[in-house]
Amino acid sequence: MELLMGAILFVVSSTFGGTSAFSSFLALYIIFIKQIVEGFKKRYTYPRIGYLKLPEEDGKQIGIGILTYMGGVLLALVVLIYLLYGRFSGDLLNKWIPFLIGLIFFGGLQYHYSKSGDKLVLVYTVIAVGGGLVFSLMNFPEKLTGAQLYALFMSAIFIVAGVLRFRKFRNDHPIQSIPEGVSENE
Amino acid sequence: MSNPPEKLPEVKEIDKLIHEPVRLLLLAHLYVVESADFLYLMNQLGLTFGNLSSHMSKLEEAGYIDVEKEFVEKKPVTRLSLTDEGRVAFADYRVRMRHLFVD
Repeated sequence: MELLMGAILFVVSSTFGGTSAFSSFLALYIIFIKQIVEGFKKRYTYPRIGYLKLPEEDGKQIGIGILTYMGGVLLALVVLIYLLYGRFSGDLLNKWIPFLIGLIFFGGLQYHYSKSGDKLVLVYTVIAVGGGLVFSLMNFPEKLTGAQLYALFMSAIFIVAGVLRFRKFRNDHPIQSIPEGVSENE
Repeated sequence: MSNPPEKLPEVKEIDKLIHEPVRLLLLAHLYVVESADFLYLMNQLGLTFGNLSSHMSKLEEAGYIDVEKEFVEKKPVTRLSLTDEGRVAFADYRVRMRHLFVD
């Protein structure tokens, strides 16, 4: 999860920086993500800890939940900006984009935590929301520099954490094979 | 149990195939997932290959689980899932056990 998030945020940061790689990346992501993730799992995860398929969730329900949450977060941010500055503008919204992304992370990461119980996800949540707030409060000469730097910061956090966890996972879980000469139907 | 002799017929009706601890754990795992492979279940239940294999065969013969064998990356993989019959039997077992201890 971390490595994928890191790659996505790296591309997002370049988009805030003015390059137009995001739309191409998004198209490739939608087309190939399932195959890439499954290929990765087949190569590194299943031979070490085995395969598990959970019952599929209602995609429509999840989609509605995501859109409702994102709409709610955006509305809350608009209200916050009004309360802080007494007005609302596009520039102010750009300034607060890091916090907006941090709050979106909060929802996504909490959902992931509810599914996995992985306590490190709580650490990511604190970093994502806290980092979003700090980058939003800082003043930058360009209107999207804060969002770009925040995306780069989170990208670095996820990539470093992902590489370290992957190394630990490989060390802790060597490849297991079914013993030879034992019949599965003995 | 309020009155053990009254419960005796119910105790006798408990599915002994499911009541065995390892098979009970195996079915409990499969009850909450869509499917799982041999390696995953071996790790989760702390069983040896032969032990899990023998319980798997008994549950398969009873029609409680489906066993699919395939090759992934040139390695044999055995995937297990609960059949509808197995799901009903496990749910029934849970109800009976709860009834036995709670009522």
